Amino acid sequence: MVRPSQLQVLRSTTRRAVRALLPLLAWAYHAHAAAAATGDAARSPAVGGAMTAPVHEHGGPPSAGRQSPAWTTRPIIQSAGRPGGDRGFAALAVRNLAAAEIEAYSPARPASPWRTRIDGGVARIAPTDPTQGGMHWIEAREESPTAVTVASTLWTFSSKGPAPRALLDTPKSELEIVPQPAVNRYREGGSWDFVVRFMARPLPQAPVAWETQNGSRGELVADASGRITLTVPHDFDIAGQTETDQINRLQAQFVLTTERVEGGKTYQTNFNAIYSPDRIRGKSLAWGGGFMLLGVGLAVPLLRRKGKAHV
Amino acid sequence: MSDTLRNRMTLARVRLAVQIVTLFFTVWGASVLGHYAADKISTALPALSCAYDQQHGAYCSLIPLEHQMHHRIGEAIAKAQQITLQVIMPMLVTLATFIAFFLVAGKAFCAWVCPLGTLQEWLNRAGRRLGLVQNAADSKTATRLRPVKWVIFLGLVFIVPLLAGMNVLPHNLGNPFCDMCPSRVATTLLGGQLEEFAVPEVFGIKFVLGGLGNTIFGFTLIGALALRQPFCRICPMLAMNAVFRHASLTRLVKVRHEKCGKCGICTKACPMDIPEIHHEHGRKAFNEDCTLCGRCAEFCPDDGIIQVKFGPWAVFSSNRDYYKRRLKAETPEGDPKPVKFMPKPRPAGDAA
Ligand code: SF4
Ligand code: SF4
Repeated sequence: MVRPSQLQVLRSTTRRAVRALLPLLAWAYHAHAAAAATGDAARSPAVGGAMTAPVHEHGGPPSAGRQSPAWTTRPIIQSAGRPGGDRGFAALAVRNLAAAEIEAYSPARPASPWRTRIDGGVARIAPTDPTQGGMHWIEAREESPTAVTVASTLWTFSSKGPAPRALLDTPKSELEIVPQPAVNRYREGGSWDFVVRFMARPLPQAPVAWETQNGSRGELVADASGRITLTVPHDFDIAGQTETDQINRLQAQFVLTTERVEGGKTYQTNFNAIYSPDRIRGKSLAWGGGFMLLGVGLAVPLLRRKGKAHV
Repeated sequence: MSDTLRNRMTLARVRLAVQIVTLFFTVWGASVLGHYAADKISTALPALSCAYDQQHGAYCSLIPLEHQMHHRIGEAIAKAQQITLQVIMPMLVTLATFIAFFLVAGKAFCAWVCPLGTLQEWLNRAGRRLGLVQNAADSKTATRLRPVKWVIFLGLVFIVPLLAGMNVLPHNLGNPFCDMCPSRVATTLLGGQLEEFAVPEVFGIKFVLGGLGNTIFGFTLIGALALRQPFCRICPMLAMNAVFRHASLTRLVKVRHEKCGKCGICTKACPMDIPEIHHEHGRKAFNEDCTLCGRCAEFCPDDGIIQVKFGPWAVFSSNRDYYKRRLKAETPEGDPKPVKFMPKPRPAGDAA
């Protein structure tokens, strides 16, 4: 049975707690309104230059939109779906290539690719088995008697799938740039290997040109085993980004291109992928060290205090 | 088993071996298992595995919980959608995976698996070797501290992410505990990554939470030299494990014993300074703060009073002979006995 005095204490405690919480809630609404405002500003398309695209943290590559211009003149495959990603299928658009269909290779059965028509500029690709997802190789090609041009990328479906080792080993076109290993999201400052293959064999000394959506470009030459190492440049402009979450959500693309003339035919292949800012961008080691030292300082009295000592 | 081996095989040594393996696995495992396995295992690891997955970073069981609260439940409520199967299923799957984990290992996660728990324990050993005065929480302080971990668990793992998902709180409060988790800082530093140690340079919520995380990390680093398991006392994992502890297969069992009133060595041996292991028996003795390290059972001088059990089996049971042996190496509180360097006896025939 609750006594009246206890009730009174309970009531006054509740009143005090509500009063203490009110400013907190007011602050929360205020902070949220501010965050929403900056978030919306960041989501509006950048004007001119590179289209560094802030998207939802868990989404796929930056959305190209059906009509938006490509950031490069090289053939690439881009997401044309919702910014947060579509459930169960990938809406993909091919840029700078006259391809009628997209070919997809699953990690479970890389020897049995399937084709999807590009309809209204977009192809909707879904895994053949909805329970078997993971990384898929996506490719589009344009062919003439004198030239074969290929655009390729990797797309990860959210349901789990096997590791894409066999997928990468399987030859998918005459000339290929194959990531080793396959990576979901590249990062600024990271170094990543790719192998150039021609007719299923590594191609030594192949020249590979690279270009990023943020405007960096360069050239690499494959070593004796056809391998190149791309170090993704630090080229995101993070000025005006106030929160590390916003910075982490930034995404841009890069594309690698190589060409080979053989038997009077020009083979060109392109591999594009997305990358994000270095995880340390927008962060300070000095602040990190400072706060750690504060904690150390707070613990120092424990080392001196004559507390209840153990035996 | 030979006598020498039996004498050397203490519960503490078995636990140390498991801790070394799990610390290695969670901090450097990704490099051993390779890129694709790391990708898969990181999402399956139950907790505190930030350093494990350098690709995605900062992934532990608290992340799915915060994530579900933030992105699924919170956003669904905010959009006034019906709570459909699409919303509930992933939440249930997440819950099911770690309930399965906690129902099997239960509280043993803390003293046997958690890398931060291990680091604190080793730091304290170092502090004792350095002869530092040790602090212990008396029963009042230990009891008063208990609600803090529940506030952190309910507040920062459930309520704040939920409110952030509902747009009541800012979006960047979606993973508040992870943003201030000292284990994230410790394990990634051990893995050679500086990203998690660095704090956002612009003042804001992430700056405050990151700064708090590094402060707690600094405090834990030094505090652990003179106080056993300082962070564990407020860790939300301790609270989460506490919810399922009586349903877990791995658990601590203590039976009533006449001599307990005058003894209390178990509480002295307990790194969490739990008074109940001394004063209570039955369910109450298996306290919410227990990390299932088994030290109380190791240092209980009477046979069969405290047991670490897995299902119906006693994995370890207190035992007078074992207690005597254990005392030769260290005190119940954990102070090492002075190491004696004895000259190796020469074989009889060697005598000049
Ligand atoms: S209480 Fe927390 S920090 Fe301590 S061992 Fe358990 S999970 Fe690790
Ligand atoms: S009660 Fe026993 S098993 Fe639990 S933490 Fe304390 S000493 Fe370890």
